[in-house]
Amino acid sequence: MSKYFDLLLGILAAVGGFVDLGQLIFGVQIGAKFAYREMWVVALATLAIALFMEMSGRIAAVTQKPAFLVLRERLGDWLGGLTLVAAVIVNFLTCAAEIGGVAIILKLLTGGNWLLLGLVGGLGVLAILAVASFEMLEHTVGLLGVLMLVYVVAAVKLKPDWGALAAGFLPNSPQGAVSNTLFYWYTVVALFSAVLLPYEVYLYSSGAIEDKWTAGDLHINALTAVLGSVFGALLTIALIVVGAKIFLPLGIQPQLPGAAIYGPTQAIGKTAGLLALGGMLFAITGAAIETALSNGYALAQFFHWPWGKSKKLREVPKFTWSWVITVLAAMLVILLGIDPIKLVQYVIVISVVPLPLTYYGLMVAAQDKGLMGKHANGQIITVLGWALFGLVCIAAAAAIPLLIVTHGGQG
Amino acid sequence: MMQKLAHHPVAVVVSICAVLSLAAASLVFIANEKFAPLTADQLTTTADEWRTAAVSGQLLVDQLNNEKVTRTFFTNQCYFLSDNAAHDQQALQSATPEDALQSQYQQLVSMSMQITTSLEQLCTAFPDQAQRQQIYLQLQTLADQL
Repeated sequence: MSKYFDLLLGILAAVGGFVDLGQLIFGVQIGAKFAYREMWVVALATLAIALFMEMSGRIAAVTQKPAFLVLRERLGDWLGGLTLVAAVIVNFLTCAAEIGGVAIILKLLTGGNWLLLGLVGGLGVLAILAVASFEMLEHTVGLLGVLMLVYVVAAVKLKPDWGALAAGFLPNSPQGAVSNTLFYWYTVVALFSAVLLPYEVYLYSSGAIEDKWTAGDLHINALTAVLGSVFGALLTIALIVVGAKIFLPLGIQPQLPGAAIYGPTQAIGKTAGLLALGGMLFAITGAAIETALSNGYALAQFFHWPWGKSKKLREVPKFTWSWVITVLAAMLVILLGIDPIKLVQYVIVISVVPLPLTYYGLMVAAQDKGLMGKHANGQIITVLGWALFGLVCIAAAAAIPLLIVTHGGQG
Repeated sequence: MMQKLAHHPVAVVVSICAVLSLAAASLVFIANEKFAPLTADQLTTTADEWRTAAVSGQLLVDQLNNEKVTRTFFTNQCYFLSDNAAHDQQALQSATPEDALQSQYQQLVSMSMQITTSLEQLCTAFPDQAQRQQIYLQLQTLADQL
């Protein structure tokens, strides 16, 4: 029974934990610019993240090996090391953007000095990480992010064109000016990358070990990965609807995360706006915690250091210092005046570049019968997995050229 | 850690090369963005961004007038809009347009200054509904011209 309670909590936590600053900004912008035309990207990215999360959880449960250990074994020291460097840089920059996002939401809720709120955001993340157990982090912060469901209610109340929304699930490309088409494909890559950010897989796999999953828990793993991703995708769809219903008719594409609450305020009222801000605060705080922790997991697993959030801090000193330094350095970036919104826009697109190495390692391990025995990938999952891996590679190859030709996503 | 790394010198070299090449690509990109002249397409995009700034100010006033947001939210969202506008205006003023676009560019600079000033005034205008409405109309006029 407690396993099923854990499953429910896991799915609810995934709803809040699935959305971060990048998805908030890109979701609303995409709706404001292209209405529902990129629903197919949400569907594909959700399928991919559910599949790869399930694989990483399955590998961890069956072999008791977390993602980065498997990556090093499968990719070797060179490519494994390259993946590690890329993952650590992307996690660090994402963590910085999320801490900046926390400061933005705190400012919208309370006013106050920007530098002070940046400090509160960073030190708050550090304090939560120092005090909370893995279970508390997994459930409490994620659960509070469920406040984000106010966006789903708002999206329904805003009465979207359901026919156009359904049609958006078929892949399409806009006609007209070349710059508009290039910007469309830039946002396609950005949305795909925002859903597939690699820290989610490292964290999920490490969480499976922290939660002591075994081969007997594979059904829980599959349900958590699939339902969590699907419910998380609902939030992304809701954000796109808010962009399409509030900003598209005005012909504008706001970049500030605060603008996203106009959907709930318009559809429901002032209280819904406050709930939305609360949900954003917890979801973004959760993402900052996850990215910092992900760096600790990646470094510790790659270099065979003792690790685990369930252990006392002094029992795993190098693991602990890894996430402490990540948070402090990320906070410093924000205090030095780097704009978190611009930062997240670049990081999300650039983070797609190292994704193929991560997912290649997982695919190879998950289909290895010698390693996984009867729990190795079946034929359908193998074909689907390699097809989605192909899309990840295309997105990775297109990311930097699209960033350059759209002048950093300016259209 | 250093001992383990010392056993894998090629991995270290490859990793450093990857990081340096990404940094070099970023520098080239930034330099290109900073020093290349503004094209007609970029000028249109920039004008759209200024229209977004003006309409976002109006939308914020609407939200406060209809009691959809708190005063704290209004003031701070307004400061974010105004700070972004001030930053973008500096960037626009330091840009160099292609020769044929000089007059359009000058017009956009002038309007961007007016939008920035209006947004700055809006942030301190929330207790005075009449002043707020006046700024709303100024933003409306500017947005219509873009």
